[in-house]
Amino acid sequence: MKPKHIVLTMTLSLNALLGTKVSAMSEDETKKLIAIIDEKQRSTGDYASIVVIEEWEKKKDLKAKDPYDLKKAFEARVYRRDADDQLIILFSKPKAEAGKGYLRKEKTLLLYEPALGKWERQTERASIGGTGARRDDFDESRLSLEFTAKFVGDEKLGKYDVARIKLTAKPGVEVGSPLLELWIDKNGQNILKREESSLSGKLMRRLLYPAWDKMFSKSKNADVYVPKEIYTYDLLEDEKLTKVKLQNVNLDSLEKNMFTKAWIESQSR
Amino acid sequence: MRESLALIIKVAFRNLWLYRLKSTVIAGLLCMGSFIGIVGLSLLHDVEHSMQDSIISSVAGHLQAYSSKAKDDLALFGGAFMGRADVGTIPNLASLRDVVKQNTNVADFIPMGSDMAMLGRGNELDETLTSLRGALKKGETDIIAQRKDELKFLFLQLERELTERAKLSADKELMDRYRADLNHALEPDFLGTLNALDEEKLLFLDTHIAPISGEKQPIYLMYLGTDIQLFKQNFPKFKLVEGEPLGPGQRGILISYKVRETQLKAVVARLFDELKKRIDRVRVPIKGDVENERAAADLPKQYQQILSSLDRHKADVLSEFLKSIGIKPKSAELITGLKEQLQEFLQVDDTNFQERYKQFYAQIAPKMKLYEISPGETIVLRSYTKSGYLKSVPLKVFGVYTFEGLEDSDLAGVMNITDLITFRELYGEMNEESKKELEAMRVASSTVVTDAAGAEDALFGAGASASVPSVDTHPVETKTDSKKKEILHIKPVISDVFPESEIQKGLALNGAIRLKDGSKIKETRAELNKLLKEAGIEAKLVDWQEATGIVGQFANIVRLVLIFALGVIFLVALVIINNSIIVGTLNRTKEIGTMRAIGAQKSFVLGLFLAETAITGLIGSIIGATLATVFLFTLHIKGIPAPNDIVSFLFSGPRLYPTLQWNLVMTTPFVVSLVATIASIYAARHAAHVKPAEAMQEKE
Repeated sequence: MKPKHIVLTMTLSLNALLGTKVSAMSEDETKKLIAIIDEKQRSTGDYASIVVIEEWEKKKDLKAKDPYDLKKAFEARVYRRDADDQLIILFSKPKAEAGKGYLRKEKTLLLYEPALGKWERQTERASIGGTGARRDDFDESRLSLEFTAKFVGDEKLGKYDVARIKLTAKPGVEVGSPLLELWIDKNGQNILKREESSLSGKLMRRLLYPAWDKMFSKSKNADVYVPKEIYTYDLLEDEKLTKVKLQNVNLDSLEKNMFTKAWIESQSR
Repeated sequence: MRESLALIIKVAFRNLWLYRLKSTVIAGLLCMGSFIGIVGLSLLHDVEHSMQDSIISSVAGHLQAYSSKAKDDLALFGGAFMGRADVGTIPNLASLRDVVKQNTNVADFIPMGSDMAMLGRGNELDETLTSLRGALKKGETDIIAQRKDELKFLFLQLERELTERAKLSADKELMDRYRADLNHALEPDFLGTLNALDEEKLLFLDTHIAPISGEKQPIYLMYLGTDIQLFKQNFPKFKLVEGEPLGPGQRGILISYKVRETQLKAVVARLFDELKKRIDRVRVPIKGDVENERAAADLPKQYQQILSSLDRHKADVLSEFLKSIGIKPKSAELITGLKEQLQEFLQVDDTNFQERYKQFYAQIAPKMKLYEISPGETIVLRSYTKSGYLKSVPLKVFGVYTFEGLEDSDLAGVMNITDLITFRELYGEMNEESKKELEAMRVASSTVVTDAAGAEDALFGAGASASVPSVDTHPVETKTDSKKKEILHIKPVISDVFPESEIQKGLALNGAIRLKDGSKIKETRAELNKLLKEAGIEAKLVDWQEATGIVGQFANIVRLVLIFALGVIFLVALVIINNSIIVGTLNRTKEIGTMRAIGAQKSFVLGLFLAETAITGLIGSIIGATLATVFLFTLHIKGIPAPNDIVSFLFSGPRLYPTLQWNLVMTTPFVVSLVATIASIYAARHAAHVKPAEAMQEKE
């Protein structure tokens, strides 16, 4: 474990033990909080989970009892090896999409079409299965590396006391959205709400994280925090809701040669 | 009366001879009017019919049916503003077809649906890497060696390209990273030891080297999903030019010849084609023509496209060929030398173009991948469904088609044709099985579904337990082992065939209606509207002209312009006739006065002047009609060439062969002389009112 990580883990543990509350924060404190967020989610080893993505659309009849209709749903397995900057998203449901897979190695994202046995490079902004979920929603949290943080103020979100922080992408860094705002639970120090805007400041997506899982990672020798559910509202497209559910999270080490084209291809024979 | 008329005609002929210059001018004008009238109206008639034929026989049919709930008008060739028009849906085409076919004048109903799809493309490196990977999997040693050599050749090209890019790029860090990655791939050991399926090395090439070469722009393809068998039967201009036909119940796509030639062909070949067409067909030389000069200037920039599609052997052969025609490399190194040779070869002017064109197609084109798509290949079409989901469907390219005579037309050749089942899939229409699967997932979901405003309260309000971890720390050992996951059982996304009955029912966006008697469009439309109303089907009908949007309105615009032009010519001619009669009257006051003094009645003078105009008009317009007949007959034999692609659509082919409209030839001279005679009444009345006394006065 690197010294930086030990310090962050200690800070984290102390905060949890003492129940320290975050108040109006200096630039350094804000920076540190974002680093804590990254660190809490960081998994030094491998990561696997089953992800269910549901896309709900607003009904045209505003008086309907259920305001939303389920338009599509996917189930996929997500595998990550953050140490090597690698990620796999492999679809298992619906049947028509089963076997389709994304393989990311550092900056390059490749998509596998099992019906053709062909691979294609995708763009960073590519959405997963055409839903409101994006590849970076399942990726390692790199907020402190990719963004500059600025404290906005203390607020209340439902029953939670939250710190609102604005993040701006660092120059030259390729990110899904250049402007972010986070509402961080002052007690638990987990993100509860995230808003993404375009460079012009136009609000594009709102993500809500109502539940987090905590589990112990042997390789990290510390807890890893994983969101259980993510509610994503597409604010440009009639509040289309994409709900992401993360199940069976597993921090066990994965096969050595898993992050390859051959492995993804082998899954859909 | 009869004697008087004979006298009027006799005197009129005498006057026409006496004032022959004036008479010739008037006859000449009416001859021109008659000539323009006959030729113009004949050509308009032919263009209208040709255009109608182009549209009805290529995609529109006589009538089109689509949803009466459509938000936009149906525009088969795109509206004034290209975009995704909302023309609604026909949820059950079977009921619409059954109603439409009740009408005895309806020959057939062809269901359709069209949209735009994207075609993703990798670069040359991606293609070579895919091929190498395939060969490594199968252990094909010869191909492995060949692909590795190609890769090395491409790396060397990339190295030179990178040197040029580094001079322009501000991102030094990125350029250094590219350079380091490329140097690693160029190490002798890297490719040298790649003789088995080494996934790590291959992934490095896929993710670190191939992206350096950049990505090609995606191609956007318009596609029309239809019942292909019905389409072939009802659109007689449809013709397969390459590949094989799409049989009943087969899934696949037929690429439009025009699309393939203009969008899917290598840019260098397209520039050669463009110049060839303009030089040979429009007869415009390169020098002095802005469009040709631009194309000629663009050609030498395309050397990279040729270079990157060659392997070392082909590059050697090409370099030797270029040497044999006197284009010598300045550099001894193959890539640099060939680059210079190609740049020189691609410099064309009026003196060398025809030769270079032949050499390009004989020596260079066969060594390149000339088209992005060719029959026999499988492509992936991607299209946004109606709900905005990017759907991809793999499709076999069966062949290349065109509409006979409309090969060059951008409008008729804009659509690629696929089966209706594929259209439905890309449109996002779920089949029964998919619907059941989604319903099962909906039942299994425990989602709190509320709108964005209420979500925060529902999820974080009192009673909600969020940030505090809901699961306590637990060791990973208790988790399931991801390694033991079963292999997914893939059902092919879409099978290659479908039961023919599937296209007889289900969803379509619109449908073409072919009539047995095309002249009864209006009546049949009214009858069909009545039938649809009675059956309670929410569909509306438009004729071929309305269905083709702005294109269909073109015929009206052409007609208006021609009628306006004819009107102006006639107006000018009539003013001149009138003026010349008035001036003639003034000059002939003495003569009129004398006639009146010796007993000629006003009516005699009036009749005389009218007779003079009528005879002049008749002679002039008969000459005009004769000339128009000869002219149209000549054009009918030789044909009028279409100078560009839009005109070739109007002509329904590369040449228009006008037909002689005998009714126009017979009637126009009489109409022209009648109009001229009526127009001269005012001037004739003016002459008739000359008083003998005043005429004598004038004499004094």
